[in-house]
Amino acid sequence: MPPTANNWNFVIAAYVIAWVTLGGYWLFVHRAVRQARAQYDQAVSAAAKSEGTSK
Amino acid sequence: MSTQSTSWVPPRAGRWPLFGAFTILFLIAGQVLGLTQSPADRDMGDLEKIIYVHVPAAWVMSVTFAIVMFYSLRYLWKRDERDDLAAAAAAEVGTLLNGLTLALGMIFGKPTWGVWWAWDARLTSTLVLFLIFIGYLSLREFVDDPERRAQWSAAVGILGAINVGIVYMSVRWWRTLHQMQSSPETVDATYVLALRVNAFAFLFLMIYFVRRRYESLCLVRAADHAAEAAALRGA
Amino acid sequence: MNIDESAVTPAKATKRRPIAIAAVVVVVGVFGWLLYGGLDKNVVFFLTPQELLAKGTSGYDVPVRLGGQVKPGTVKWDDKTLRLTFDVTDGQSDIAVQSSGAPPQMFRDGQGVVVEGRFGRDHVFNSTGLMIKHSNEYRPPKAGEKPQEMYKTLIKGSGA
Repeated sequence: MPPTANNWNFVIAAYVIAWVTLGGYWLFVHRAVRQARAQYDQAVSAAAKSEGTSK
Repeated sequence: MSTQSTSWVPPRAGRWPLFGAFTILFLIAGQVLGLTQSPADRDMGDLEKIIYVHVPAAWVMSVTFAIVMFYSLRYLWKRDERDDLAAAAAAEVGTLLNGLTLALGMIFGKPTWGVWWAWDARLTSTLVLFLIFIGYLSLREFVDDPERRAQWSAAVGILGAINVGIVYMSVRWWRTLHQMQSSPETVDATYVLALRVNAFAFLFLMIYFVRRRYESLCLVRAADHAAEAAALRGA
Repeated sequence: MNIDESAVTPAKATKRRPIAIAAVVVVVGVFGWLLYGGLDKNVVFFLTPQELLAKGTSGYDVPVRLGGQVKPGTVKWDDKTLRLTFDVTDGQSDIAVQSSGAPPQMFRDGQGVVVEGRFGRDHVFNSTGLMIKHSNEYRPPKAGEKPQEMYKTLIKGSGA
């Protein structure tokens, strides 16, 4: 029941959850952009190649 | 299969990485300001510092779902699949902020109210909002046809975003455990500044997340279009 | 390889369609139910003392939440038995509340509270759960006040 000492634990828990969530999503977003960019570049170059062969 | 709107080029990263670096610095500054420069509240002591993460998450969540509403409506109007992808990007970020709002609210509620959770109108409607957008995101996973997926997503997105208004008004319409909206009159000036800085930091971060997610979704769709076009030519 | 993939996609789509329809139905259903049905009963999270008293005999011995302010000067705390008693007021009517265990740290004179429990025929509310209903005000303590100290003095001071 000691209330005062506990308070910082809740504050720290809240900030850690906020930072880990936002930081984790930051990493996810950048990995997604990188992978999507690679996928797109590959698809475009493959399409250009097939266009070259069909002509 | 949608073949009508293949004539667009996916957006580039441009100067957005620079904006991203700026938002990170701004957020760090805001969080340090809130943690170190605001005096303890007379009722809740240092627990007051949780408002600098809980409240910005909740506010910016509402803005994000408003973006979902905007692009969902625009998709139904113009049938441009990029609007559907923008709505999807915003829905994902909004769901993240919604989950954060709930989690941080529970951490705030336990030491101040004495309970982790209460089934009052505010908390219940916020949970419903979260579940609707979990539904929105899983709907996108289940439906493969892009056009059908876009139409259904737009419908659920609009329906879900309407609920934001209910969440906002819940503390005024109904008698709840959650307090009413604070205003600069009810919050001491020393707290208002840190709250504003953090609200803008979360807003900028949200804009950055949505833009980069939109970019990656567009790239994946454009890659599909290129592969489809190549396959058609090959056949 | 791309031709193969595009040939598979429509079949996959039809197989998943029932699940997608079910997901939409569930989402819309939950939304509607909570809006017009389930939430309706919970719309009033608590009753005020006046409302509870107005229910008369139907208000006795049923699970209910009572909300109001802690009436200043009515808080009594017994260190030995951990019994906490106080009056909840809405300005017009008061109801005596009996509770056990230490209250949340923000509990004090004049604070908004919501208690869960049953209202007895002896007009004492037996609380099984005590929640603080905080106002939307945030202020640092005035000069001389120390945050958190008020809680300690309240619990200590009312023990006698």
